[in-house]
Amino acid sequence: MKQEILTQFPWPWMPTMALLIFFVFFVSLIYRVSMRSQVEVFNRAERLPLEEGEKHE
Amino acid sequence: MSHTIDKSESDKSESFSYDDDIVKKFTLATLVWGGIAFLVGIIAALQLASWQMNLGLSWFSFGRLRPLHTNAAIFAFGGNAIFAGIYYSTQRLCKARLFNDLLSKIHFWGWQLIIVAAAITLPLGITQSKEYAELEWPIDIAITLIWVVFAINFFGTLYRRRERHLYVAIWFYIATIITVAVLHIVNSIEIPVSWFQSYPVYAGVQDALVQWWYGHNAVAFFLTTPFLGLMYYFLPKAANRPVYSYRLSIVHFWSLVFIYIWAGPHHLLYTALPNWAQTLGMVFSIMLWAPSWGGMINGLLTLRGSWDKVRTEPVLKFMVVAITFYGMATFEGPLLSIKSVSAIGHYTDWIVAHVHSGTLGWNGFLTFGMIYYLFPKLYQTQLFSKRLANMHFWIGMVGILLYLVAMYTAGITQSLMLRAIDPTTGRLVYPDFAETVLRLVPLYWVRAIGGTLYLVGFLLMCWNLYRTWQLAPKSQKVETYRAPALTNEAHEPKSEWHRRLEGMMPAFSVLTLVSILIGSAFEIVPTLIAHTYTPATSGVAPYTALELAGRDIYVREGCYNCHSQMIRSLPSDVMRFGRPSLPEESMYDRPFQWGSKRTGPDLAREGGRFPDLWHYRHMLDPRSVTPNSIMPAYTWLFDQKTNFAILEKKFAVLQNLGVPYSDSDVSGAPESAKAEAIKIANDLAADSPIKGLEDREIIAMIAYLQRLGKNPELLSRPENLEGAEH
Repeated sequence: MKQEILTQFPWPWMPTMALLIFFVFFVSLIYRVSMRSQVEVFNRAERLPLEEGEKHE
Repeated sequence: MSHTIDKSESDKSESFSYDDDIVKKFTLATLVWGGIAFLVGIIAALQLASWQMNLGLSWFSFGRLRPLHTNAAIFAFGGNAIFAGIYYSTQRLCKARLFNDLLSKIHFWGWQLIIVAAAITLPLGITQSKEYAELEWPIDIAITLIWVVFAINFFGTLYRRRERHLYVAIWFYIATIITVAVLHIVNSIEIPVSWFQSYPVYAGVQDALVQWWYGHNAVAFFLTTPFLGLMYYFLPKAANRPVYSYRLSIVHFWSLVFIYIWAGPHHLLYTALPNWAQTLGMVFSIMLWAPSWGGMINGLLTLRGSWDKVRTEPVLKFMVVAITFYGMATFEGPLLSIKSVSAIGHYTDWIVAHVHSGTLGWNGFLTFGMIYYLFPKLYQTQLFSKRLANMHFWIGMVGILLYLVAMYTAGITQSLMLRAIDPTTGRLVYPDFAETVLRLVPLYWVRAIGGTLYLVGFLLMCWNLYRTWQLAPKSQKVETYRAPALTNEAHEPKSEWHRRLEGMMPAFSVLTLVSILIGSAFEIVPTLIAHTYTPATSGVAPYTALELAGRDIYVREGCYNCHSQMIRSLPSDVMRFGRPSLPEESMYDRPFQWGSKRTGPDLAREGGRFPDLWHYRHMLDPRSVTPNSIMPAYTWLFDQKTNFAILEKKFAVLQNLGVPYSDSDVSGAPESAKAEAIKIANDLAADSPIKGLEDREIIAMIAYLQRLGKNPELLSRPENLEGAEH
């Protein structure tokens, strides 16, 4: 049965498709985060943990 | 702080306060349950070093305590820690109080009740035996409900936030909440037999795949993503500097979330799981190296230029070491997923070492660092003693190192002994399994010492925190903050796509869900419908009534914690235990019992290897038949009576799940079991003075053990006569 599952597995496109989806997504992600227009956004976002809201006395 | 991203909102300021009371509660619970989890871990370690430590008590035996230890460490200690950290950081990152104070309280008390229920039921043997998912169905439902309460409270807070941007820590929290819900629900689909027992809808290979898809991702999404979120928040806070690269954190998040979910099958290499699923799991596990190390590098480089603070600040000390352990554990995980490395490490203490480098080093130390940071802030005072905190750090560190060195040595020692084949005779050099375990006992003592040191360090922390609490002002003021409310205006230029996505919490959550569902579906669906493209004839008969009763006792006693039922297609496995296990052999196993660690030998072909009397004596006193055995005696099986009456209900449930029992099999199950038991008891009586055992659990256990691997029709088929792969 083990061999049959291996040889008769009818959807090899499934894992192939998944890998493809990942690589397309990953490459586009790398491209977008590398864009210069994002620099200012990231500079502001990375400081968020250092803010807690203005203390109100 | 007055800085907000959207200057247009600066004139719409609102005042608010944070709910730190709930953070205090979860922090306290972390300390209480942490102590218990570590203590039970030490007891379990001592039980492996000395079988007498099982004390001859059913509820205190290793098989029942080990799940208590793992559940307490993961869900009680780890769970309360992440809830404390998430509630503290989310409020501040959103500049909003938690959505609903009542929901926070329900979440807290509900979670503690679940932990108490686990602490009661697991020692009583009420278990599903699926690792890290042992709790029975009523508790599973309670977990689901409380998780929903947590999700509403969390997402409600995001909905009411005053900061448009969702910081990277929040993304990790979102991924945690969504994925843990999916994992828990899918893995817990079961049909109840009674209030205290259920059978999973999956069986054998399918159950194994679903369970390790869950088990692996419980580590990923309960012990990794939330802690990464905490790292991304608390490390910059403690170091007072922003994260090294926000850009890297985006890549880290999406690639980690997408890839992690695929890696589960690396727990099942060389087993009866289809090879394509094993290969897929291995490939994605290796791919995990990149995002994991991306996260580690991002954490460590956050301290660039301020490493001098690590020398003096215990908080940073704990966090740096935690991140380093994260890096080591996530290097080792993919390494162990390579089939040839897995062949050495799997089923040995190497895996125990790997897991504990993650939990003690990464989760434990990050939690300690977070608590040292949080506690003085929550109680508006200073830490009582940095010196004590530093002592905690070093004692804990030595404890971890002792633990890891002992377990790596034990794992590799046993693996090499089990695999050793004499080149001149072609036989196993160490045919006696107990001999390989005996070599490990000194190392088990070292492990217990390491664990004890870790606990001592933890107790020092508790004392330090108690004294800190004493220093706190009697009446603590509730601080109020101001921040502008969000408006519905378009805030960002069109090009900043990820920024806009982060502003759209529902869309972000859906995308995260899709990311984890892709990998899950592509792995699980083909396995669940394997029957549509493989032959239906199995050559395996379902369990008889008495065998099923014995199987449920085997599950109750947690035998899977030490014994596998899966002979891998490796020469050493085949020579020692017999032909490789076939998928059909576990097709009626609900739950599957493949195990993950061999402190005792594999039992997949145990049936018929020894007479009934051997099993009788072995369970009564293991050392009477295996002189060096470290297995505890199971004397209570000789006193407790088998519940024959419930077998009809059990058969009915299994029949509904597709097991080919006839209606007469179902209605006659109790009587059939009694007849089987009388036969075994009579056989025992014929060879010895043992009388009157037919209604005792030991007889059912013997029936089950003698059944294991007894599928002559299946095993005689020519296509199944193949041996090892390599």
